[in-house]
Amino acid sequence: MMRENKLLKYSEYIITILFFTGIFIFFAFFYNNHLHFEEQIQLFLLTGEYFISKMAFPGGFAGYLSGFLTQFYYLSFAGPLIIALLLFGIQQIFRLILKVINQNNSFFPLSFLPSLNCAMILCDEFYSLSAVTGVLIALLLSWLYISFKRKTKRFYAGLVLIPLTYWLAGGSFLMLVSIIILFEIITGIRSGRKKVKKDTKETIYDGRLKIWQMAVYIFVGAVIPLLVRRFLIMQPLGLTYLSEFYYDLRTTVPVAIPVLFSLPAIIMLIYSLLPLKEKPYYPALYIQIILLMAAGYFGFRQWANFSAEDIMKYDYLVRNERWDDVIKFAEKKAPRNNLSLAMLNLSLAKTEKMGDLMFHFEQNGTAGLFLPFEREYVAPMMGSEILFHLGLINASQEYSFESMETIPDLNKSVRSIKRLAETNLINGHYKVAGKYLRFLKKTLFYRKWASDTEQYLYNEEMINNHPVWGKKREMMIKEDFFFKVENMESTLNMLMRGNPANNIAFQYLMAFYLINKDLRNFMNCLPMMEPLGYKKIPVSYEEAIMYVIGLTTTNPMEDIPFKISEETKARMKAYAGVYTTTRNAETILRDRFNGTYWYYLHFK
Amino acid sequence: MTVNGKKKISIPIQKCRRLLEEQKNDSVLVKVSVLKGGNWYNYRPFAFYVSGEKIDPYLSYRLIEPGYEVWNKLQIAQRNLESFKETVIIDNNMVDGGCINCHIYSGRDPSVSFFHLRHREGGTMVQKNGVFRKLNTVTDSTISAGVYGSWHPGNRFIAFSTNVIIPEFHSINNLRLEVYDTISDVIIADLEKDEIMKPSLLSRKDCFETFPVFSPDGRKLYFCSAKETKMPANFSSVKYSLCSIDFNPDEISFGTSVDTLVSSNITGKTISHPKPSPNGRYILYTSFDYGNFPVWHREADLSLLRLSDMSIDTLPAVNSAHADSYHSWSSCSRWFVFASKRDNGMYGKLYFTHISEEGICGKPFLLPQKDPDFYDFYLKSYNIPEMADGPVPYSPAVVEKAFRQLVAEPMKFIPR
Repeated sequence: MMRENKLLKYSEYIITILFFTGIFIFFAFFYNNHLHFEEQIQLFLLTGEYFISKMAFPGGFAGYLSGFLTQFYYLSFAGPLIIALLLFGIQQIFRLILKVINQNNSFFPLSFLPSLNCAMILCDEFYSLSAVTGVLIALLLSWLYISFKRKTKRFYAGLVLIPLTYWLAGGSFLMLVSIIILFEIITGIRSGRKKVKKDTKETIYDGRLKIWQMAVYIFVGAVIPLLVRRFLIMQPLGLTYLSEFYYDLRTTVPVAIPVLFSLPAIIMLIYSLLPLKEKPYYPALYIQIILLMAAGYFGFRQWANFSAEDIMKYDYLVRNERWDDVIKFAEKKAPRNNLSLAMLNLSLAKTEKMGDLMFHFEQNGTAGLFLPFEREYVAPMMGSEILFHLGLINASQEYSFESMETIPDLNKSVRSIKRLAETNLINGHYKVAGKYLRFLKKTLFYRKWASDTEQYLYNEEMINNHPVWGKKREMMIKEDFFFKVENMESTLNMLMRGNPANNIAFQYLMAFYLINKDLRNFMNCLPMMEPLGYKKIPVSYEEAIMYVIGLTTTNPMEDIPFKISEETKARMKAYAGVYTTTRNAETILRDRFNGTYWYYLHFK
Repeated sequence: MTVNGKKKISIPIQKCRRLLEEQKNDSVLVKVSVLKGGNWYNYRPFAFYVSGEKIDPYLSYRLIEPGYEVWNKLQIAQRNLESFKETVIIDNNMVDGGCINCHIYSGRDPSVSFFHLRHREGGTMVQKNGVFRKLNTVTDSTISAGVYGSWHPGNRFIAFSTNVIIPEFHSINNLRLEVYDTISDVIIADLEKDEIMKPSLLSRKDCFETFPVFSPDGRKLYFCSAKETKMPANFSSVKYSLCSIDFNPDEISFGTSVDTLVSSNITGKTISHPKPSPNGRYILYTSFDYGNFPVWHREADLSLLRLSDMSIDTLPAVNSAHADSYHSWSSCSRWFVFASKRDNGMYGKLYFTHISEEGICGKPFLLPQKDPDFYDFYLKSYNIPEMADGPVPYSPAVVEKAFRQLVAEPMKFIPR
């Protein structure tokens, strides 16, 4: 018996280690960019005022704790570790609660379900870490409640813990209420029936609370939020009960939230109905493990959004100016939407490879070049990068600002604030730049950058000599017009007129014409290459030139006023040979010429 | 009085009140000394004068990010000017994220006010003694719902502009946003008969009319008017003049001619937001290079028109190098409050200016906060300041209830 119990205990250790290692591995290697994404759309300030501002709302402590931990997502492995540890904490505390109800260790896998549920919802960027910290706080205080053996003490503890949990953790106080009421019911059914063995560690309760006392708990739970709403904080009714820290879209309560809150009580109920005898039930254990694995597999399949993860990866790499890594990633996993494609195109431009490689990837019109403004926070945030690198500082500023204004949880973004500090610095609006830098100086990971940047305020010479900001000033548009992303053609032409050395704008202008198959304007822009110091014509340009020449001369291989490589000439000959002589040339040409401009021109 | 602090000085409010009471109609000399690196440094002393004329005790304003087109958290708050207490009176969080703007009292009376709630279930929310009506001011014969509005002193009429407003974004660094009308008229809403009137002289096809405001005696309507032109092509040449037309509230009729009080042809500037003083002696307005949206025009300044001799004071002591725009008067006509971006050119704050019996304006001072660092770490702009002689008789919960339960009452268009 003792040997069996030891085996069971070791099984629990192994499964615990495997489970949380699995969580860590998932978030570290398969879902890391979601965590980076979460980190950049919050602004966590290390000030007393910020703490007080959070504590002034129900759930604020859970929110503050979550924000504090989320800032560490800045470091790639810190986020997965934090998540694994929090979920481990949830599992362990819940395990302790379940042990009070049923000492049989065979059913320990059920204690993993709340953690698994939390891990799954964290896959959706609209659920922040504060949902997890809220659950942890509620479970901790539930366990505290359960630790009181005498019912009188428990009753008074409950009267304190319900409002306390509401204020500290927000909506998960509903979880606490459900746990403690169910606990009382279970305790009531069991107390007086059991014979207590001398040498067991069984907790001895002196019975359950009376019905009216439990009714008081429900009353307190129902009324406290209404009182807060009436006298302290006006907010919509749903938010009053839930708090703003569980789901970012404040006007909806998704099904996952009631499931999150009710799951522990449901498991407690199931646990209470399982055999109490301390004898290992291995078949039950195996079934639970299989079910846990199945729940994990299907749950993550449902919740994890790997398409979004790819977009976030592109965004993360661009934000950190890892242009070559973007291209490498695209070669492994081609962009499947305009957001990723726009980031790839930016990376190609920044590495001066746009003219060579852009048609190696599936293009999607100009929406894959410039992200049109959408009234949400992702496209403007990513679009701001493109505009910034083009030298459209005002437009980049607008996109960044508007992006921040559309963050679902209505909070500020450290990424936007940083970009706004830069754009205002470049524009010479030093007081505004200084204001944003003051905020960043109150953060953990951005304060050094902010302090270093502060030295540039009011120092025209330093800014002009800065490798990025100085260059942006040189590239800036000199003429005023009303900017619309739909009018990018004229904007790019203006950028080139203002600064013929703006290679990024040149590449985008050429890309614009090529994508739109506007070869006349493309050809007209070729002379712009000279002041840019191009030693060699990029491959796509060669292909377009050869095509145009082919339309206008009888001997395109000879009558070329441009220096076209022999390789491109040979390829054109081969392409033309198939295209002009073969029916259904598309399928034949796809394998060899899919990455050429000719193929794009004819078939896309 | 001596007040100490480690990194900042916060003067206890009771001490502050006592000091101001004692120094009424006199001045206070302020000396600031700082202990730094073991040495004391004395800053140059400065003085301020304590006026004996009381200001209205409440101020409402909108808190909004200085953004472009998009907003998230919008609130209209009221501040007790005799303390630091600020309460939210309308919160867009409570009305499904709708846009809330133009919160206007009738003659600083908090028991009569309106604001617009832009939402498919919204409307113009008119409040009297805490009871709301939701009005749909859109008609087939008017351009849009009411926009910029002003109460008639009898509280029966509200004059609104109706406009098609277009925002555009500048490309160059010293300009941010341009907002212009492509078409605009002035209408009058009759709250007794639930009717909308569009007087012909206030809705000419060859003019843009906007910013209507009644005179304190209710017998004149002031408004801004510009020659109609093709927009946006000519956006930088549109200049509004300050005009007036007679109004007879008993007969509900308008005069037969429009007077130009300040011509943009003469001044070379455009005019927005005219606000007559309660004593009828002045009209305070915003003047800038072109257009009708001064908040993003750095050159926007306040000007004071003296109605006794039609002279214009450009208020050099009041204005700054950044936009000084939306303003409102106190009941006694001896104070006005205005929104200014003088601090950093972007985040608007509220400033108070005293105006003497002779019409001399003093140096503006900032709406004080309990924490001297407050504005450094605040990311909202203050705008549409309106003074009031008391707190509003409703709460955000009442607004929410009205929003959710009331159906917008249509108003009938009456040709006049």
